[in-house]
Amino acid sequence: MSWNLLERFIESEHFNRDPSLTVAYLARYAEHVGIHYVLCSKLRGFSYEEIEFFLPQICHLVISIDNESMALEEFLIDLCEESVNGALLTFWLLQTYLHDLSSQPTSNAFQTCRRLYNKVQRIVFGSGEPLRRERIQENVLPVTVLSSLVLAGIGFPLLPQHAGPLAIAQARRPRPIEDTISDAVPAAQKLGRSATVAGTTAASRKTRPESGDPRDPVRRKTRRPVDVRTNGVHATASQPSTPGLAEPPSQSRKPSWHGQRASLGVSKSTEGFTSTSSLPDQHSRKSSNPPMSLPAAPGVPRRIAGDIPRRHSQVMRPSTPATMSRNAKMRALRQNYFRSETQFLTALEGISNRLVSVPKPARLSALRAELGLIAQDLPAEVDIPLICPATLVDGSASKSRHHRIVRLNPAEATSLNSAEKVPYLLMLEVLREDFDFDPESQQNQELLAKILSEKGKQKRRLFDTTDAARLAAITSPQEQVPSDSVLEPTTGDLSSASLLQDLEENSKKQDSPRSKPQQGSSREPPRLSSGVSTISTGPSLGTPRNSDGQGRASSGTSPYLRPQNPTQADVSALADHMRTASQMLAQLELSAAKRPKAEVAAIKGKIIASMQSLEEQSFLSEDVAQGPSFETIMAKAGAPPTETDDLVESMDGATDPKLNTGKGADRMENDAMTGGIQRKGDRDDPSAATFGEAWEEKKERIRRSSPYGWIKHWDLVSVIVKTGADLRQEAFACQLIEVCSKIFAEHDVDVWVKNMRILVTGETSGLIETITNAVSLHSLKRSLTLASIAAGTNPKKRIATLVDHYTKTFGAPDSAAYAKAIDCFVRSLAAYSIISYVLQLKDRHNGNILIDSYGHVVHIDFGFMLSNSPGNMGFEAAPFKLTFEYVELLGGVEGEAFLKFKELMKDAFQALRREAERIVTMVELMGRESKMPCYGGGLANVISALRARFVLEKSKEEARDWVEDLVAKSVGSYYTRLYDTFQYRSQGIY
Amino acid sequence: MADTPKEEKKVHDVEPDCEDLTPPPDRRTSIADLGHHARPRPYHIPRYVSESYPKFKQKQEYALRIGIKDFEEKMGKSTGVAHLQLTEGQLTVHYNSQSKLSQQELADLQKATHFDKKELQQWYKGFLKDCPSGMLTKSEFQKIYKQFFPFGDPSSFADYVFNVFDADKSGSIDFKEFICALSVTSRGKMEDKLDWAFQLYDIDGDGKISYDEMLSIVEAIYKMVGSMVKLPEDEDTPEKRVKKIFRMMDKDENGSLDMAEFKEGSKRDETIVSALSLYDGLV
Repeated sequence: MSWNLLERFIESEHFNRDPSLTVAYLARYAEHVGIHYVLCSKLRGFSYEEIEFFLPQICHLVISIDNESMALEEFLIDLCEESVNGALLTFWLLQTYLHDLSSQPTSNAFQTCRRLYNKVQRIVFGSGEPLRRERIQENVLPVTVLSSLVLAGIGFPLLPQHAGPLAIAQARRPRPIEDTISDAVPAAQKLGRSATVAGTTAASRKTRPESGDPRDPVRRKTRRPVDVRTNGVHATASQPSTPGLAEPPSQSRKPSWHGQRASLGVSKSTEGFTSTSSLPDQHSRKSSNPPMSLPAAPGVPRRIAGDIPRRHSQVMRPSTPATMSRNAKMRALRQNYFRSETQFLTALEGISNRLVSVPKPARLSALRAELGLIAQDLPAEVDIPLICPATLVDGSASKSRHHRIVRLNPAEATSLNSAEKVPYLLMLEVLREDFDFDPESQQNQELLAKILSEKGKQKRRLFDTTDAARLAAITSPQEQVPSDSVLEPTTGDLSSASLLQDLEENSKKQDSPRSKPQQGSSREPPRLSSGVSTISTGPSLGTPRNSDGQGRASSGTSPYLRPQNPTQADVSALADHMRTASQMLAQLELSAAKRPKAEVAAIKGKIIASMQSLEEQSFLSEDVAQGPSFETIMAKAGAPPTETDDLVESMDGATDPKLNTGKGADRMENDAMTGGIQRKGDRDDPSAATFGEAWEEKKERIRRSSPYGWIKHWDLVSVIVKTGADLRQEAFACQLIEVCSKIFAEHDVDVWVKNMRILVTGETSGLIETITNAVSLHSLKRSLTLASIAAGTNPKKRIATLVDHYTKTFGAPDSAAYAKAIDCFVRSLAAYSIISYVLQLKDRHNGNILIDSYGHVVHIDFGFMLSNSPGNMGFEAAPFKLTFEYVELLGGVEGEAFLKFKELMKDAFQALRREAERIVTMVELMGRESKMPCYGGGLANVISALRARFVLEKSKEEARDWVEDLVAKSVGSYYTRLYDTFQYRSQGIY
Repeated sequence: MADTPKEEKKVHDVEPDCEDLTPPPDRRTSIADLGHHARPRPYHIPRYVSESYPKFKQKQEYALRIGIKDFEEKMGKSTGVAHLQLTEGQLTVHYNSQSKLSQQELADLQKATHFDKKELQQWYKGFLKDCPSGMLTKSEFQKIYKQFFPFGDPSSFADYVFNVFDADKSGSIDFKEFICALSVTSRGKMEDKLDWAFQLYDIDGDGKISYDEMLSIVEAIYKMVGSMVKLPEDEDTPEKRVKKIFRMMDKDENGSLDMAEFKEGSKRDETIVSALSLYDGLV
């Protein structure tokens, strides 16, 4: 069989335009090692940005395809070694796959995934030894080729250079498990290693239950899914990272705690100072499972040959920057970034997870308090990959200049409304291109010195929002923390404990005079039992000895009373107060059934009011240092207890209560937060909402208030932190839309699409780029309607239309500004319409369609596409959404704008048809073994239906007629109207 | 006889040690077919409950055993299968190669190579895994090359290399030949490597490399590589490359290279030296 045709195609210009064909062919020729290798070397020819775009596909390929070739794996590892962001993104992606595959630990996919994950993890957190010198395994066939290449080296030295890497990669391929099981033991015998190996694995096994250790970033990260799963319901403020503290201090626990400390100490001393990671058990992890709470896989011990001796050679290396090699310095800097970055994101996601259990009215306060803790560690070497991507110097991925996050103002953050999850919006101040990994620069020299000086000490975890971390940070490392005091409550807890009692007493005095305080405390246990198991401060409330003098005595040494770091103490104390309050709220909810309703509401209102005022005091007033104590505020706020439901209402203002319910109101609030409309202005006079400028204004305002605002490279980035939902499909949809947008550009179709980026950091977490200058159609219409009703100009309560919005925002229909806005509308609507049709984007209610400040339409939220739809009801049977309202705005079906819209759509469809393979192969590739709901209809069906929508059998002219048909079917489709009506009736979405 | 290659392929997936092989549905029929070869298939199959059934069953089993014996003989000739065993719907394949090297073999190989006992056993295991028959045949050899060089024609180069590996000219490469080659190329000294490589270029084995011999090898390499390597202008044809080699190595300009010239010339050229140490330290 000859591959000449394929070879010529691979070499052609068409093939090398972007990596999509290469990626597709990697799937198609997976069985051919040689071709795979050629394709991978083609991949290396593309720029980092191009590769990064296809990273989800490449990762999916590596895992979903079970073949002989090692080329793609090698490629990925090389990419990770070259690019810090590539490494992080791959790391996160692999983590999601590990999660997916954890139910089948014997599958090849899981084995591959784990192997890769371990390698990437080593790059990210490991001691930084390059993996390149990995030894060859007993792969006879590739080794034979390797030997013959040596022979040919004399006749033609270029041959080994060219084919050598391929043969070596194949020769390194790990042997199947059955082989290695029996090999593991003899391998360890050499150098008398067996003892040490066994020792460490035993130790790691023993410490595994303790994996809540907050100083261990990897563990924490990988443990997170477990946290979410098991504690999702009743996790409270400080829970996830301190399971050890939450449990009652039993004697039997202590030995293992100390045991871990001891092993920590041992590995510290042998790790050597050049190792840039503080992972205590990095070594044992390598030879055992990935540190997940997965079912243990058979054949776990995998020998990494030649690994151990090299580690030991490191031990004695001195630790001053001057003696380190350039590469070692670079690695140290990179690992510092990896650590900071992962810890930063873990902290952000942790907050979102914890907010779930906080009652809605108190969320904002709790969020800001927690963010306050994170903000203390800024600026640091952190950025936002993908959404605010680093600049590559000379296009080289190894030389990236990152946009440092310098400040996070908690007061600018808002929690968004969502069904069960609590995403929140964050404003991050960045300095563009502020840090890199050049070990020669002054800035990095200093950083290096700092990193090295911190080595060997118990390094505090950055951005840690847990009590334990603060304790560990403030107690000096030499001082062995007595386990007793670790388990003892901090001041915050104490005050809250007494607070709760005050509160109890108060409420009893007020509402139920017949119950005496003692009785009150005897009534506590059922309530507290829930607290004990879920929250760290639970014991302080539950066990009597904590609330007596003994507890108070320990508070004398409490970190918060030390004057060294006043701001931290204040922020921490505030966070503590907030958490206590949230816990009290949560407990109140649990016990609500047993108490009189009015009493519950009263207490609740009081707590929330106090949280809010506490938050206002500390964030909105200038003198944070003088923040009033929780008690005083409680006393002040005590007077009028507010009904919590009223609170929700009052937040949204006095509007028609019928229209105010459910998702619609939430959506609107969210819009106000992300879209940059001032809510007040919006409510009073929506036409005044000039939202394009609102973002700029906001930016300017924050800039003025920021201590970094004067710096030239200052910038503001707005992101949404989301947890509890799998964002991979969403990210994939954005990717497909971006491919379409590229196709339009390549074929000079003058349409407009917003390219959105989503950063997936785990199977249930991620960051979403905010569209800063757009508001949902729903909100626009709603606010316009409400305003006109309020102004008395709309006695019939007619729902406002798009035309109303465009005329109010852009001017009279004959003005130039209006014409321009309509043009934007036409160009974006044409693109999104054809994309909606091709990708079958569903759930297209007006809450998911935004209008930006130029008049463009922007679609968001892609939970439903290809084969799934909300409730799988097939409500939205129209090819795409084209309401009468749109048509009205386009000047009716005969209007000039409407004709232009159709022309553009036809051109756009033609362009997509010409590149249909690109889209189909991408969908096909990601559908293999996919768990994304959009493949629910079965891959084969999804693909054939997708292909059919391109009507490739039709001629160019026929295809234009086809679009005409689509438009005709969609115009005011009965189904679209039905869906909108349904949304309006059921959810209050306009 | 016709279905033997098919069977052989299946056997390759099987463990070298005594592993159970659950026969796939079509496999059962092929065994029955073999029974058919040995004896005519009974035209009447009695029902399970009938009186004659046990007798029939006995006959059937006998036929099957003969069939397997027959098959086993065929397999034994072409591959390393020692015998087959059928028990309750499972066919077990036993190979005649031992799963471990004997002490004597180990000691001999240890002397002949740069490997220790442990490594030798390890490689032997790997060898049996990849070549269950205990030897690497020419066609398998060709196949690997085709895989590694999909866009070229590696057949003639593979032939030349095979002849160097196959020291005893038996037509197949056994473990000893393999491990010796591996030892020289991965851990051998430069001298040893060149000694060994000389055999590739000295096709007729007369102790000299003629211009034509060198040209044949270089042509084979160029054919194998195809257009995947960008060639420098002074080496873009086999002739140019061979001329360059001879300019560099043929000190007495007699149109052929002896061992000394070959070694000297190779050691002087840095690209050759680095090509020869391609995987030093990786094995």
